[in-house]
Amino acid sequence: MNLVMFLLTALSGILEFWNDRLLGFFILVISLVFLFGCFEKQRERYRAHLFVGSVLVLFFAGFSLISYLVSFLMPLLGEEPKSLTLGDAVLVSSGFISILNVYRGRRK
Amino acid sequence: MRPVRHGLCQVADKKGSGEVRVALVGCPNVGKTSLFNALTGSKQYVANWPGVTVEKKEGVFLHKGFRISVIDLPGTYALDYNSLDEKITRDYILSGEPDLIVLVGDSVNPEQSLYLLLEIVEMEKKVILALTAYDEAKKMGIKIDKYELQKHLGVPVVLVSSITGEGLEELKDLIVDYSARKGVLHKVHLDYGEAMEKRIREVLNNLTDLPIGAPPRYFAMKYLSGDTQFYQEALKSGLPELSEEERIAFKISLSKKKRELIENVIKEAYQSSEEKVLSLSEAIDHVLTHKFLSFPLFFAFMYLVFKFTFETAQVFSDLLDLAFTNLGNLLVERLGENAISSFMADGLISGVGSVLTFVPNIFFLFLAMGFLEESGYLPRAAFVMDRIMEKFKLSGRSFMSLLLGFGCNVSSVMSTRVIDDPKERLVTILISPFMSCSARLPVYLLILRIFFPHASAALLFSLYTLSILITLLSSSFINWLFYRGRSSPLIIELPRYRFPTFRNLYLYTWNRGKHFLKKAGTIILLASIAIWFLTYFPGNGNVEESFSASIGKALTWIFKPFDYSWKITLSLFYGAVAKEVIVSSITMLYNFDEVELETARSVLGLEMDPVKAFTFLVFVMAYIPCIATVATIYSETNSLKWTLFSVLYSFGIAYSLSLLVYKIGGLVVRS
Amino acid sequence: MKLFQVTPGVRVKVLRMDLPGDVQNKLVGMGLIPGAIVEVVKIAPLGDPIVFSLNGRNITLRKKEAEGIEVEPVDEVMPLYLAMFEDGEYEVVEMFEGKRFLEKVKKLGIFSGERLTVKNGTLYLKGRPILLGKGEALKILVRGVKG
Repeated sequence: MNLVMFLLTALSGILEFWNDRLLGFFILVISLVFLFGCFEKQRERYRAHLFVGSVLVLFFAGFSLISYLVSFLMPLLGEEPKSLTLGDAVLVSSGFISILNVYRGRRK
Repeated sequence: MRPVRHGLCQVADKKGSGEVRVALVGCPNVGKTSLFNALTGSKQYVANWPGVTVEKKEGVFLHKGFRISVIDLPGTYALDYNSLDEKITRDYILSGEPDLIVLVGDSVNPEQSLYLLLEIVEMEKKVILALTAYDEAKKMGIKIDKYELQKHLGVPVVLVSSITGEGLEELKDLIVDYSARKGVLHKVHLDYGEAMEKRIREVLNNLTDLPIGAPPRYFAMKYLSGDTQFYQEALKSGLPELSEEERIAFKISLSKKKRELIENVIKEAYQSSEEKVLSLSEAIDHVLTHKFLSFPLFFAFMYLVFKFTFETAQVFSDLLDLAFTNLGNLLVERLGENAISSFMADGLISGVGSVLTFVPNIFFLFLAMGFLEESGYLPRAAFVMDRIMEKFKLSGRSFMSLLLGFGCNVSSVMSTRVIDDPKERLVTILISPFMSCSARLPVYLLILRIFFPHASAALLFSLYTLSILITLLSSSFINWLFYRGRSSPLIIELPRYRFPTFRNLYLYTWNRGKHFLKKAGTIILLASIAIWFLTYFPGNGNVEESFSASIGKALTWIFKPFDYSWKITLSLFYGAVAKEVIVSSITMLYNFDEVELETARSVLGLEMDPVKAFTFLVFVMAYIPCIATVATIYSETNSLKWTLFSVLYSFGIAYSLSLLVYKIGGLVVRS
Repeated sequence: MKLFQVTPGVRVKVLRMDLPGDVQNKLVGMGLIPGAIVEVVKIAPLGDPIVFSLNGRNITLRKKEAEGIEVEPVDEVMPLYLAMFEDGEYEVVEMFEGKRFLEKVKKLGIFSGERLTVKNGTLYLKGRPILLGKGEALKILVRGVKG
């Protein structure tokens, strides 16, 4: 599961990189949490990486969702609202998988 | 019932059954503030304790016809008079002002809380033990026998959860019942064994007159263990001096006996499932303080916080800005161009507006900070960063505050409240204005775009790097200047991670944001009225003939070495109000629009060359904190001396640094 | 042995504390007194502050302060690395994973049940001095043998 999450977040990180260098970079940082998780031998630690990484993905996905919603106010300033990019879409979808991970992690 | 003392308690109860004053005491991070919030809701009043800048939080709630005012005392591990927090807490408990003390303890790890409880029991005060986070304990499979605890400790016990609300009603009932009951003072004697009891008896026999403000037995024990306050008092009242070894040994024995007793009580009253799994908190810690991940993740968090405060909130700020501009234009349109409309539009509305447009940023910042603090991440960040900060005589705790300075120095100064070492807190307050706040960014961007269109990114980066360097070196310097001692130790508890509740976040943000609105708002309002007045009169709108012009011309001697014109000097002078004002005063004085770079270049180019321009930016980066920051420094340090020091020091640094840049730059360019 | 030398995962008992007054007072107030049992939980990524757990609570401490706290291991079984602070005779109980590591110790002649002697901080096996790195010494668990 860590590997799947790593690939997903890394993908969204690379995609975001075209729009917003820093955001893309930090999503890649988050994907490292999963990458390091892949190499954990202890079961508990493997899960720890999955759990924390998922929570972080949720933060970033939530953030991009909020800024998307807030950008609906932009026309009031005479600017165009943001449109959802492919990177955002991948990020939000990995956010949904994260909800499952977090839910399972808390139940443990 | 005690007489009404404070203004906020003056509303008498309908039934006339009176009021109860309750003090909440507990260790840091046990959820004391959460319980306080859960009990009082939003009826809170935050002020400072007299003479010090430790927050005093008071709240009120009504229950069964009683008006119960709650005071949230600072969190402490012990009541030894070592830190300011401990002093305040102990003095307040011993003052007899509270009718009842609620000791807020942790259900999961009650050891330290029970220790604190025994201290209060020895002070012979009426006390209730409220063990919070009961929901967490249940989730962890811990069973707590409340009656067993009551039996051993001799105080009423309630198990509560501020999150689920369990036990809250029971606690409220108990507060009302118990405070009305008489003769329940706990004169429980902990037996410390023959040898120690003998020493205590000896002291008690030698006491000629009874100590004021403390029960004799408590006084005797504190004297024997060399307590900072009572040892001195005891010497004054004629008790003999004790050797240091004896005092330390007695103190440790006291503590040991208490710990033994507590261990037994816990053994009797607690049942937990013994399997040791990596708990959720440990799991999170494994990743967040990971050898390789901790630093990148820390910066990822910071990035998210900043993005949230300065991008998401910016939309709201811009909307406010737009609204104020339109309001101003509307006024001018309706009233015509005259002194009154100018005063309303340029003075009041744009002045107050310039503060209010920051409100979304500030509130979003505190929301994000509240999340980091309430979740328990902040101490981890301090832990991870400590090694680097120690080099500059700071600790990880000041790191967070400094980082906030990139947003706004006011919030960074205010956030130093979490630093418990007064010395370190002061140093952090004094150096934080050097962090290049977001208000300075418009100035950089304007000047860099005009003079260095091709190298602006690199120079911007160098300015930020310079600001960090000055901040850290200033810390070393100020420490060297005033303290020269060892750096304060980093002894902090890493609490369990918690998901912050909505109520706690809301109260956290509101209590702090409100402060900003009130303090900074009034000052900037006055300043902007003053500036408007000076620029408008006596020339009735003509800048060249205004008071401002005379001020600017009168001040040019200060910048003689730099050869700045009076307009630049004046913009720096007004910039002391708020750094953004520099941009607006430059555009106003030189009469160009921010977007017309060509015009700007030709106008400003007459007076400045690139070296001079960059020197100007270095000066802007470091010089005098804005008025809002100075006011905050004053209110946080409570000292005119340190506020003045901050202003003079930063001015001195800015002056000498930019002079250096000017001379070196001049040499490089000319050769 | 001093607290700052203890490796994560090992439980130790506090013997003596020799610290500046205010630090000592604070720690005593928090429950760190001679006789208390603590476990070093974690060392910061940059190697300085350590976290130790005391009655289930995690508390940070800089190495400078941890130098003033004298401790001794509680459990019989401890990593060899810690055993080297105390002269005496030890029995190898267990060795952890790592193929290359196991091969190396095999070559050196260290097996489970083997007796090792520590004298003045040097390790001897059957009278021969042996050099082990810190990482390696952490992977070998030993038990003190009362001679």
